[in-house]
Amino acid sequence: MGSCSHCTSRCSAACADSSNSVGGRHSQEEDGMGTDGTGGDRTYKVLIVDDNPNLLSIVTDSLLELGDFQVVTAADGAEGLAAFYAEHPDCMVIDVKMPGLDGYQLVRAIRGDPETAGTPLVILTALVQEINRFTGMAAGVDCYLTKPVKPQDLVAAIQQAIARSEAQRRQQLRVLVEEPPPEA
Amino acid sequence: MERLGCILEDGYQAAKAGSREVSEAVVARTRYSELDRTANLVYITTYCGVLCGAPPEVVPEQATSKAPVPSLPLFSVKTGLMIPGLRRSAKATEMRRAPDAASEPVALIIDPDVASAERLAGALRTRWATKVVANAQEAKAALRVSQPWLVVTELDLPDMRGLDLLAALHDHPLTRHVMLMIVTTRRKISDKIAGFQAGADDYLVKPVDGELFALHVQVLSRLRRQL
Repeated sequence: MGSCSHCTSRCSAACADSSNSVGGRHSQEEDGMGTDGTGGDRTYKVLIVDDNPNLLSIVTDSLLELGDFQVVTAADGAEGLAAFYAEHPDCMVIDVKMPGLDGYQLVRAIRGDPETAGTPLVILTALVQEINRFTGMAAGVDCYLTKPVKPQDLVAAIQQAIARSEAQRRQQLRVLVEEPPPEA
Repeated sequence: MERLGCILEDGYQAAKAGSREVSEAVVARTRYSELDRTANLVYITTYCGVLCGAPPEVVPEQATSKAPVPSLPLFSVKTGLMIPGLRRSAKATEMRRAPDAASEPVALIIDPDVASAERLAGALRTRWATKVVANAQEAKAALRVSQPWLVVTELDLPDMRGLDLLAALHDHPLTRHVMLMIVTTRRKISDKIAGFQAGADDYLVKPVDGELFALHVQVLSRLRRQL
């Protein structure tokens, strides 16, 4: 994965509300999460959904190298939804433009079910426009990253997504619907 | 110009005139007595007003009496232009119904479980006017009279598959721009995938928290304006 200063700022903007939302933010220590992005004595399972096999391979290698993650992958949105129910991941990293079920729809399918609504979700996409970011955040994703992304930024986003509470996710929606409209 | 809630018979000509608002209208061949009184605004022309059996006091200009009525700008479905000073009766003015300051058009909620539908409608009531129906036939009848910007439906309907109704709304030229939301007891993977592939913009599984439902509707409202 390449590095890009834009990705860092985009990640910061898209994830910023996790530090100032209502409901109180759990610290990593409270959540038992180590600084390497893993859960102290437990390994977090991350499901990556992307129709680009090269990217799946690169992201998988990066996560395995940077932290004690267990990684599973799916090649499109429908397969990703099935894998989600089969694997019960601790976090999902989702591309947007995929055949069948796109990333926004996959996020909505998970967020819209009370049994799965609390799943940490990160979008990782090549779509960089503000309207894309808004659509992703409005679908309920915890963090919106754009490609290419630094592996450390992806790990940080996964950490933040796992640390978020239901109250913070709801507050994100409240803020989004009151925001000035983004430019298309 | 105010957003059009409903238009009588010759809306096709109005759509051809190129008004964005009118192009979003329901072109309803209906009787005046069957008009949806919850529509945000009803436009009545002389021609179609008479044809549809509207009483003289709500038919503008030529066909009206000389009764003193508010003089408000109206849209001409004949020319596609605003007509300053075209007369509209007090009764016609009463048909304007702004549910609140936001003045959003109605949302149509389709669910045979009346209690569930009423809960959803209640969650939206402070912001939007809603209409609740129990089956697909009632939904189609409601859509012939007025066009909401949002349709919320259960997948299990007594007279039609909810997925088929969604697909029909998604594909029809007059409703393809309507935001579609599924609120259902069905939570299978195949149902969710089929729902989105039929054209749903959102999918919520019951039981649905009222505030969360309202937030999802607000999100769709924002997306509708921007996409």
